Amino acid sequence: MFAESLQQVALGGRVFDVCLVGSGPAGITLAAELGARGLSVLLLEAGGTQYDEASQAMFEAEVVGPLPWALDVNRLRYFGGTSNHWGGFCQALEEIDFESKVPGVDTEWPIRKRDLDPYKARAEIVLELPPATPDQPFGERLRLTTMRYSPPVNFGIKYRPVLEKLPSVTTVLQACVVNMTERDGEIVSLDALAPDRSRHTVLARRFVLCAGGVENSRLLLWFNQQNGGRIVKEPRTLGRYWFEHPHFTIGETFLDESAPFVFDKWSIAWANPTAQTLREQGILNAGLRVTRRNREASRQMIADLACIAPELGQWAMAKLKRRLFCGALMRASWEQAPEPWNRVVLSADRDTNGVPRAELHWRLSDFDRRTILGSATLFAEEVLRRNYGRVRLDPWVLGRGSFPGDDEIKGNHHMGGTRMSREPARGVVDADCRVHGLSNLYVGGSSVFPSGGAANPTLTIVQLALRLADHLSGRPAPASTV
Amino acid sequence: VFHQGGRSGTATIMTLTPRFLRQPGGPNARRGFIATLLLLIGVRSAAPRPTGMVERDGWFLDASDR
Repeated sequence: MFAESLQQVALGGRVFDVCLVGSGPAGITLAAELGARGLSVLLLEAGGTQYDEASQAMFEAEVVGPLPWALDVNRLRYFGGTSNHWGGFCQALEEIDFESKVPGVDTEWPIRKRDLDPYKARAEIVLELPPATPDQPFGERLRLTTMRYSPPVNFGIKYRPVLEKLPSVTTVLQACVVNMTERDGEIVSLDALAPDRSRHTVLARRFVLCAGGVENSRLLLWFNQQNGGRIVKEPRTLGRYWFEHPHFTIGETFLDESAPFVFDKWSIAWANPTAQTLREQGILNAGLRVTRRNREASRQMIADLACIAPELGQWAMAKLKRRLFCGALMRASWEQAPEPWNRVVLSADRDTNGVPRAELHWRLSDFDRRTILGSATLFAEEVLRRNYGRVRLDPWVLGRGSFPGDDEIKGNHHMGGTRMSREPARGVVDADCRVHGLSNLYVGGSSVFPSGGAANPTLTIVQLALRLADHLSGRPAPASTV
Repeated sequence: VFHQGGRSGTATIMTLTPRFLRQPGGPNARRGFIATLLLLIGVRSAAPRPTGMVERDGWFLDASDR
């Protein structure tokens, strides 16, 4: 059943097996999986089926820090969520991404890669990913990696017909969740508003918040405040340890055409440090993106080099003319250190439903610069060692100036805030994505990530949703493939 | 062999090349052989070497770069 509003649904004391809040990749994957197993599911989406200015305005939030884009632009508040405008970039987290890499930097997950591996093949089907290509060594300290591209799957368009055919799934649009009620360590009900502001009470055995990487924190902070701290009993980390994948142009390079880089459909070749290198260098994971440039830009780059090293510039220009060299922009997306000061808090300003807006505090640190400088220097050294070309890094990467304010800066990857942890003091949810101290409230999506590696998060979000579906349906997790 | 460098590799190439080019097989075979040679030369030139990396105005250069 697909309803335009709560007024069209006869809730009448009905108790659903699972109530899902939010219809992005996590919420829709869970709804489809649980519905296929016969569980009664209520999927609540705050928006409608299409972009709407008034609905989108509910996502307005203050950002304190260098984020240049507003949170009502990079998120979408309608059925399908932010999958309505994502780019389709997919990578799996690596084994080391679940571990502690650098002493004093809290990147450890309470689960390991082998816990998500059994869900990888199914997640790849959900996202319609092409087969993976094995990494290739690039020297001893780097690997050439590949990005996999989803078409991209628009979850709203692809899965609406699937959900409509599942008799046990009820999807309700324009349902804004405003509170939940706790009793004796479990959530007994949830309150949601219909477009006419009528208030409806939803009963379910289990509840899952899949509202997004900012909204999950916002809702839990608000529910906790209304319930006197009985929702997240140890709220020290709630909303905190929020992080992004910083995205920056870091320099440029010219490369021999015989170099083993494989440029994909976006003319990008990818490289990451090896796990051992991360440990040795004391840095977090980083994805270097070598993006081919046109000949004019390449010529200009080599002309600039000639001012520093005329003979080298002459040699490079000759090879460029004979098409033996190509020029490339060096860009990077890397792992930000999870820090408590990067956080979602409740604003004094409220939306039209009376819910405090989110206020996001986010900045980059010297350690974040150290990560990208370390990785980029390794790349420059390997290119030089093999005489493939030369690399130039921008002054800010080398510590001469602050992070640029006019670059891409972020990947719109909203992670953390309700991080997964073994102990309640260090996070909000446990290894099963269940809120510490409650028996039946769960969180889905990238807000549970304790750290984000250098991988685009959607594949991991879907893997976690499939794993949570097994947990909620009582199906044992499949044997690890590792 | 050529990747290893040295006289033996070079001698092998010098011996084989004229003989191969005289063989029947037409231009495609010759082009294939020449492409293989170029590939080997490429591999040879890409072999790692120790660096004396220095940074000048953001460029990561070899100390010998002028």
